[in-house]
Amino acid sequence: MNFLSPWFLLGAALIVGPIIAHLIRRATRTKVIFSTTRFLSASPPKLDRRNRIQHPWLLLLRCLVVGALAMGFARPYLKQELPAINTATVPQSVVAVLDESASMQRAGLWDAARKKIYDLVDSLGPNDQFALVGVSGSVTHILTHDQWKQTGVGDRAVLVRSVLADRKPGWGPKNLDAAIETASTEWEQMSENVNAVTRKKIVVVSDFTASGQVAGLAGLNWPKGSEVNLETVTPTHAGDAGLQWLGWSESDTGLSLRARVVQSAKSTNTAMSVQLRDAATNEAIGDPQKLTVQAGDTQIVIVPVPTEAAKKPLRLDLSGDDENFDNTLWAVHPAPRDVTLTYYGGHAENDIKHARFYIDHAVAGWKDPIVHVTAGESASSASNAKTGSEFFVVAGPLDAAATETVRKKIAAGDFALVLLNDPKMVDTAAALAGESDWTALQPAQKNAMFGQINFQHPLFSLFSDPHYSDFTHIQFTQPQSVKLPAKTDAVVAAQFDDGSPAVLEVPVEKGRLIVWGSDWSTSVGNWVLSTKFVPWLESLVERAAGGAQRPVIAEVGDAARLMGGEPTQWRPLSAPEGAFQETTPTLPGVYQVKQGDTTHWVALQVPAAASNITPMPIETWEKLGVPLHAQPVTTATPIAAPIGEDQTAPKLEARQKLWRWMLLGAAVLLALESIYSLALARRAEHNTNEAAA
Amino acid sequence: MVAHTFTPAQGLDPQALFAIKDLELRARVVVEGLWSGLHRSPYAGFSVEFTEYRQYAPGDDLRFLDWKLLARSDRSYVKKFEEETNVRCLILVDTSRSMLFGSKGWTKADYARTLAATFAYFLGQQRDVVGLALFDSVVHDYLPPRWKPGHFRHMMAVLDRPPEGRETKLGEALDEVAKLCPKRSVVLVLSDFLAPVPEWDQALARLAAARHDVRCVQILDPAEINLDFGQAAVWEDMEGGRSVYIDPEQARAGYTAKFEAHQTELKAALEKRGIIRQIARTDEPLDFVLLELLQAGHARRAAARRRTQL
Repeated sequence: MNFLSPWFLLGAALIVGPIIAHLIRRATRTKVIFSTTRFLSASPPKLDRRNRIQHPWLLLLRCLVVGALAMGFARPYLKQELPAINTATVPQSVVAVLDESASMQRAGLWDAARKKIYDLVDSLGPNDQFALVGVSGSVTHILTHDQWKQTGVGDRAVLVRSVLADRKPGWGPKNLDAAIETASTEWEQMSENVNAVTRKKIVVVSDFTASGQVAGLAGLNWPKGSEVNLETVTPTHAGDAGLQWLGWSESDTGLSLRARVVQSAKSTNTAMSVQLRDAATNEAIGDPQKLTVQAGDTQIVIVPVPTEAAKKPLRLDLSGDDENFDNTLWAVHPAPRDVTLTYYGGHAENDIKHARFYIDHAVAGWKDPIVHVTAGESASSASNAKTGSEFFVVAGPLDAAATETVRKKIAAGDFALVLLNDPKMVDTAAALAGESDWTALQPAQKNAMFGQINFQHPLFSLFSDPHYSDFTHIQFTQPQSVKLPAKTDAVVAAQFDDGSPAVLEVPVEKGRLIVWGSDWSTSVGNWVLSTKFVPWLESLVERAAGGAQRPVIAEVGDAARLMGGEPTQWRPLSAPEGAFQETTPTLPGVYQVKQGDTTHWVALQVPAAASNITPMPIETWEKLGVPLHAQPVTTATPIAAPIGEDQTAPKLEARQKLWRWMLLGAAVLLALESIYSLALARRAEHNTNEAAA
Repeated sequence: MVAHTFTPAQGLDPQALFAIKDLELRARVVVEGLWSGLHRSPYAGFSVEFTEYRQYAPGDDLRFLDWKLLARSDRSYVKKFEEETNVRCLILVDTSRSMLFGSKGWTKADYARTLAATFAYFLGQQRDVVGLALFDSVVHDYLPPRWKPGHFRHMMAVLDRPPEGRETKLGEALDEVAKLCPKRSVVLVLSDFLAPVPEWDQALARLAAARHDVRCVQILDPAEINLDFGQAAVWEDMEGGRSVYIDPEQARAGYTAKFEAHQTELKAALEKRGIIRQIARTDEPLDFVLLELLQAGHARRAAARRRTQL
């Protein structure tokens, strides 16, 4: 038997106390009260022999109590596990989870992690099964069980080394729960190939920082005999400072970039500086900002960005930190989209009786998209090349050439809005829609309202919330509707209260044509004065511009989600122009993204959580029910288990928990001692009474 | 005079008697039993001094002969009770700490208080005047001898007070009693008389010299007589606070010798003063102690009368 804290055995020396107490004749404490001692002479006291022990059994019990307590505190363990697993006969199914997340980029971690894997593989027997998975955001199978099985016993260690030789840690988040769940499914595949009972083990090699995600392990069903070993690797430098992206700030003084410097609790470098650079050329922009961040503290830095520099991809570098993996932020300022709104109708800008006046005022001040309103009086103006998307508002009849031009634009993907301020406009709308048999329909009532609105339609989905779906106060004094043919692509988004179509949307190849059954003027209704007018127009123009603007800065693991599942091609900043690839990037940096015909810049950052290198407490795993200590799967004869790296004395002691039995024994002995002492006391009392009688 | 013999088994069991908590009731039980015993038992012969009639004995004063009875039944009886009712009696009860010892379940103080109550009740039945004085180092309670309604209850209340438990100073107490009660009386001293004789011998002599009829009842626990008590332990003196390790087996012989020497000295000192001494063991029936006390008093007066006639 060995002891983890042998110095507690010195406590066994307290046994001397009871022994002395039992050797020394206890001075009588009994007092007899007598009327007078005048006639009494003091009796010489009886002395026991020095070597005589009083109540030897009681002394034995007390000594055993002291001894059991001392042994319990000394934390005993047996080198020979009593209920040990016969590793020579029970094969192991081992799945190693190698942490490849961003925090493993720290110096010294990756080599240490690979060494752990190599040592693990070297300790496996010929009948043991092995698989290796890596996790950096997503889980990857580095070495499958089939590869292991197909490789000769002697070549397996070489295979693992060759697989890991050129491998580098990634930049994704530390999704340990997903990796361990994948590893547990590997067990099932392994058990299909092995009939015998196996000892299932998952070995997780990681730096186990608090940024690791393990919440998914709650409720996971662990097979009997399974075990999860946590192998921690430690970095060369204990501290780390990192940059976290906060966002852009626009104020009267200009554009600025906001970032947070996060200092770990064990950092020793407090003096640092940040420098803004051009991401493409690495040229410094402005002067570096010096800052002092204490250990465990955070500080927000605001870096002014010149207007010209904001148009280019940027990087913000942190210097003064030993660990560089999270010292760079990549930044792209989202450029506002330009939309050219071409107004057909020949109305003056300040003519409040027509739609132009209200459209001009509605779009003023929009930051994205930025709308440029122009008058489209002729076909030539419509055909001029303009940047960004185009949006057409047709408030007057078009000639044939203009109609053709606008129709082509719509077919190419632009949007057009036709205002039916006259029955003749129905023909224009039909021509733009490319349909025939549209006839003007005069509504039955002169004063019309919206009778039914399809809030599922994109034109009105903005108002689907009941708080905003009240259109009853909007009236049209000169409504104009369309009688649609039986076969048409037009979709009625809203109807007047007499059931006639009020708002139509017609898909024209890639673009859309919207037909509004009234003019936009205060003389024919109150729609343009409604609070719903501007939001409705903005959502429509935004659709014309390509929809809501997506963020251009995200973490590496969120790159695919950032693109919304649409086909996307990526080009790193350093790659030549046009060298787009469909592979989702896994490295932080600035990428040019191509979706359809449009391209824009996107910055991918190191996950912010990677900078949180606080160690994850072991209690977190225990709370989740992860079997950190193996349960025996067989009652094989005890064999000697060598104390190696994977079976250290504390682990053995923690597994055996012999101290519990020692303390239990001490408690039982104490109970016996109490009973025996009580019996002795009662006997002595009885004798005393008899003597007194 | 009828010869008197009795055994303790015939009297009231002290254990049963002391089970009665009320002191007055305890005294009644003893005295009523004694009276009933007098009417139906041979004890009637010797307790003539307190009966209404007794047979004429040579030397009796013929003035007290009941002539009418003689004429009626041809038997000569004297009526002595008329004379005895005028007895003044003062009962001194030792309430010191040493009296709190008891090995039988009751203490010497209990026994003394009961004996005092019994005697007071008995005398009260005879319409004698009875007083009470409780003492330890001083006389702390004193009721002068008198006969009046409620006096007996008052005495019971005084006797019922828990003793404060000071050390015994018998000599000083007796001197104080002599001052408190200058009129000639029967002084009944109930104490264990374990204090050294020289400490109180002179005071007792002064009390006797003041023509008091002093009678001493030495109340002793059986354990004090033969030391058949206790175990090898530290023994603590109830009064002096002296602690000494005593093994009764070893100390018994020496104790007995010293105790006997004390008793001898005590007896000599009392006899020298002509004082009646009676030993009352706390395991003895109380009524027997009372009877013995009365008998001793009668014998003493008879002897005195004989001495006078001679």
